[in-house]
Amino acid sequence: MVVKLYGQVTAACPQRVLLCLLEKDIEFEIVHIDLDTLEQKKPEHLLRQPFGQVPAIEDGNFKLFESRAIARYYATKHSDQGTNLLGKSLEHRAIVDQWTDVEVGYFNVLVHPLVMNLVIKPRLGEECDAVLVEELKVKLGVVLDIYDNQLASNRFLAGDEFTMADLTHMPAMGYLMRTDINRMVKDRVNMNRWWEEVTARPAWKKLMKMAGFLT
Amino acid sequence: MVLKVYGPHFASPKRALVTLIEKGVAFETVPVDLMKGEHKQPAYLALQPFGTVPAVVDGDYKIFESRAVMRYVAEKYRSQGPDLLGKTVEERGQVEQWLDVEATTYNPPLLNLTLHIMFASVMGFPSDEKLIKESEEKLSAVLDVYEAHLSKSKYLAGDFVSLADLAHLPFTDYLVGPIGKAYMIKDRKHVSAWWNDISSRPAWKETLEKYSFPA
Repeated sequence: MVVKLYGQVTAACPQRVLLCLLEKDIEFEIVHIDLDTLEQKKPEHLLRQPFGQVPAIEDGNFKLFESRAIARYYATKHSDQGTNLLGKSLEHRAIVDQWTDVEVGYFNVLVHPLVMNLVIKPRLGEECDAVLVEELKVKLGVVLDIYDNQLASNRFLAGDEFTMADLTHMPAMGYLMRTDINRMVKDRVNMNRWWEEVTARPAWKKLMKMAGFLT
Repeated sequence: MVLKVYGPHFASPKRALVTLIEKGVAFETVPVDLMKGEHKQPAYLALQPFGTVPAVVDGDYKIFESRAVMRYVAEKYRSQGPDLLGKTVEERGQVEQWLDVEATTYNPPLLNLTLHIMFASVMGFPSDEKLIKESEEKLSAVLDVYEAHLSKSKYLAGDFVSLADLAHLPFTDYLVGPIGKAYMIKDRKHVSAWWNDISSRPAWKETLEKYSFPA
């Protein structure tokens, strides 16, 4: 049975799951939920995801939402297949979890409103909050310095292998890198090196093609 | 060498503390004086580069992010105390889902209420009434989803208490106490029953007894 992913292939959170499935060679089918027409808020989708968000998955009788939980589930269930995303030991896994949680609390909390203001609002013809953007950039600079320092002595966020910790950052980072703010990453030697390496991975390139960001 | 938890008097570290107590794991605590800026000093930043609490040291091993610590402890001590991760990969998936909901959806508005109602004057910034109102509305909408879910499920991830339930304890304790919005919990029949259940667990009572902020 093939995993059904409900979401939009261009949206960051569904991309997080898709990237995991691609890294793990797990077959899937995308059921398009149209965010532009707010399909995610309609009763049919609310049965799958009661907070009205994407993604949600159905795998036979098993259902799950929250993109990071879905990625962790498949990374655990198919730990022997494709890329090992969860580290080699309990201690290593906990460091993977640590940096995956950092993405939620320190990175996404800044990048999400930045992308909303720089990319989404203009697309919808809404006004961008320029004052907020400047505040967020300052905070993001502090956070990226910490990441850059971590990557100065680690090839990837959780050590010398690519894991869920790196993967989970990639979709939102992809959006950030398509704005003028990409300077903030490019100007930091270790972050730049890391970004070039993780985006050279075949699974990422496949995902970007599926989303229409790469031809 | 005994596991050490830094910053026990604050809310986020209590996620780690309650898990350790539930699992019967020996530990020590190390106070961190946030008022004196101890968390911004090099000695602390070496343990937690973002300068927040908790940080955990277990022999040579260092880990931060409270929910990552919860997972580490629950996995390492799987065979003792209650199984807080579920019995199957699918049950664990549900635990991860609700743990992520707490991090991405429940805690952010609650954190705004905590900072602006409890700590604004102490930390020296103006309390934002508009943000307080918006945050209460957001949290209320989230609690409506919890109410519907808990009418069909005894605990968040199923019929067993898990990390997902415990993760809600510290800040919800603030909500029903010093934040002064107990009605948000008590006015919802199933959320209220769930809250009464998890907050009366001996491990949580011990956490509050030993590590509440000194008056």
